[in-house]
Amino acid sequence: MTKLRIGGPSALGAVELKRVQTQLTVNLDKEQALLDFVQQTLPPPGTKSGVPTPDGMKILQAEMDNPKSLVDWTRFASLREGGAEAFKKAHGAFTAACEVEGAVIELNRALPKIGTLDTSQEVGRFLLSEARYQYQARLEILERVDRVVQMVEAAPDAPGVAAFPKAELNALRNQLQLDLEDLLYAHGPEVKKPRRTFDAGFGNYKPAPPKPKYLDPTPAAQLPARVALTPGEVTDLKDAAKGLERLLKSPGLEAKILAFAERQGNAEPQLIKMLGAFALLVDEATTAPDYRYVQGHSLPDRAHYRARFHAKPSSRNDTSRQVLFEALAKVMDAKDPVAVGEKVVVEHFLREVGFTAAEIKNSKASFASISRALEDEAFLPLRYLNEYEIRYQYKSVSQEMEQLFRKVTTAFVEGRFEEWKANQPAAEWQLRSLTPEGRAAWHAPLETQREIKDSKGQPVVLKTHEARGFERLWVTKNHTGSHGFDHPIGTPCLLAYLTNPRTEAIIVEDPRWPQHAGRMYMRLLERPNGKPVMFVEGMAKDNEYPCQTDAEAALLNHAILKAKAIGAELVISGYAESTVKALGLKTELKHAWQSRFVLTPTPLVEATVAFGPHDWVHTSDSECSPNRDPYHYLGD
Amino acid sequence: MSRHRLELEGSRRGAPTIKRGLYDGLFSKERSLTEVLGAEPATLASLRELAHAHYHSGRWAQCVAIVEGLHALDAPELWDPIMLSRCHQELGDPERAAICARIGEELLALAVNGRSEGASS
Repeated sequence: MTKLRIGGPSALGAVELKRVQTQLTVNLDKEQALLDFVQQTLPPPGTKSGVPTPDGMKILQAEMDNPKSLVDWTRFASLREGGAEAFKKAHGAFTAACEVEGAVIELNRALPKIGTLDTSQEVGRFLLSEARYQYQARLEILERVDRVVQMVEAAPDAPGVAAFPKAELNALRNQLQLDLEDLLYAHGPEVKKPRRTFDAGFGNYKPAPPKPKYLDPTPAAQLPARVALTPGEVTDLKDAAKGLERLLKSPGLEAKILAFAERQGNAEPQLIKMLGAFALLVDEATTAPDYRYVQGHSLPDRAHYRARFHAKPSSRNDTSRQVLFEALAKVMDAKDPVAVGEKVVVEHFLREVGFTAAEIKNSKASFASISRALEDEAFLPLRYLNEYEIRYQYKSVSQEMEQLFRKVTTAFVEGRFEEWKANQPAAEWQLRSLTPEGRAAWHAPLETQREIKDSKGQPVVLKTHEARGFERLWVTKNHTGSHGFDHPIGTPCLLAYLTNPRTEAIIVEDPRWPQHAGRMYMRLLERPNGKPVMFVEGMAKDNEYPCQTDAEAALLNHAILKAKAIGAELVISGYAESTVKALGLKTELKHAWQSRFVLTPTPLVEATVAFGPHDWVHTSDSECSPNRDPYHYLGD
Repeated sequence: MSRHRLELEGSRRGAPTIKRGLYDGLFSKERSLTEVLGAEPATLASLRELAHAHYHSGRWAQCVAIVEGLHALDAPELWDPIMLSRCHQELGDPERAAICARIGEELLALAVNGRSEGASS
């Protein structure tokens, strides 16, 4: 076993030792580290007198005479000769060591572990996330409590056990288990991950072993498990009530809701729908980050949000829980609980995602659109967009940008986003190269299918479609990219996609994969001579999804059909080179400088690396060419 | 409907609770488990007597359970590892017995001889 030396001739100082003991996760040689630690903290013998139990001394004396003893007693001649006084003196030194601040806890935490061959790693507060630290610390205390429970159970009728505070022991155990459940719920299974281990010394971080290569998508192995409520889990009255009891942390609420529902003519669909939406709202509001203070905490993909990796306890979450609890009580007290409940869900959703009181009052958001927003997990992106702090490079247009964000989120919550996007003032310019039929075809989403074989030769059908509705908010979140709604650089990239009528996204879905497998942007550009061009970028693949070429091929097939439908020339980014070759498409590779396009003005921003500097304010016509030599599709 | 009318807190009444300050002290290592549970020293002493009784009568497993419980409660004695060593030896677990003997021996050496001996290199 690797070991971290503490103490000895080249001992670390006492302060450093303490730091090591309390702040670092170390893989200790459990015996040696403990001994060294005691060596550091043990004061000279006789500093303070401890009182050993007489029977303990007798046991030790008997052990000294036991021929089978594993201890080398020749080292302790003075103890044998000194008798009881020597024992008392030694024990005094020991108890004095235990009374050194912190030592008693450290020592006693280690000893039983050694007895049971457990590991002796310390919980490192600064090397674990706060949640994992809290989880590990509670788990450790729970292990100790379980030892005490075993002790109590070992002798139920003994006088010492009878006087033992068992009720408090149970209460402590329950509290620890509740805390662990809460942490697990709030942060998902990641919170249970084993601690990092360090090789000898500091800074020698041992990275995790490489992930195995998967031929087929295996979500259970590759993605974190879902923790968030699903809409399907609240379609039943009992489930919705149970969910509300758990989320509002109010024991007995389930029974109250069921009794209330019975009084209202049990299982009325509208009532169940309202309660289900309420539960989804509580689930989101009590776990969502406070984006006014926490920005740019981007997670890799949608599964991580569903596993609630973003959840960190905050006073806003607690306030939301309290406010929503009171709101639920108000609904249950109302004469027409369904109507009141629907209104409450709408108002509290808007409030939670950052609308002001005046905006809520004037909002045309309906229960149907908000309920749909909750089912489609739009809460987090909408809150981020509303509470997003405009970053440096956009300070000069911060007001326009903020207004645009507000327009986007308002259109979403009022259920008219598609109409809003298609009728943007910029649409006339951006789609001017298309015929009226071509323009209609551009707005009409296509769907395609492509059959592939998995590694065992079984057929799998990949489906593609164009993102619409709340799905647009998540379409950029299928891989670690700057276009995600909460990427540290901010949200201009997503804003460009949401507000430019010329930009749409194709999504590919694999039945074996619980989230989008990948997406591809389509952009409608034009030649300098006015002819329409549909430019597609390479696929932005979901991080963990393994079938890159198959998924990109499905997306390119979709793009070919779309280009035909709108009557535009198809140009494929050089980033998709391998798939273009794998498909054997009839294409012509042209130099980038030969492929000049006109980039028409946007409502405010454009974002792409395929033919631009990532993201920028773009409000006038300009010519551009791709950053990589593109393939011009020549037809079937 | 108010929280009071919902009677949501009713079921918690009368149940023993853990004081928040003490509970939090467990994780900041400012409080021991004994303090949090409110176990009396006399209770711990009688549990230790029970452990010794088990030891003398050869009920090794019960002795181990109690001694480990006492350690979990932050109530150790210097020779506990040596006692545990004997218990594990009698229970047929030489590996655990050897580890306990080593730790007991070194602890004893430190306690008897002080800082000058037992330092590791």
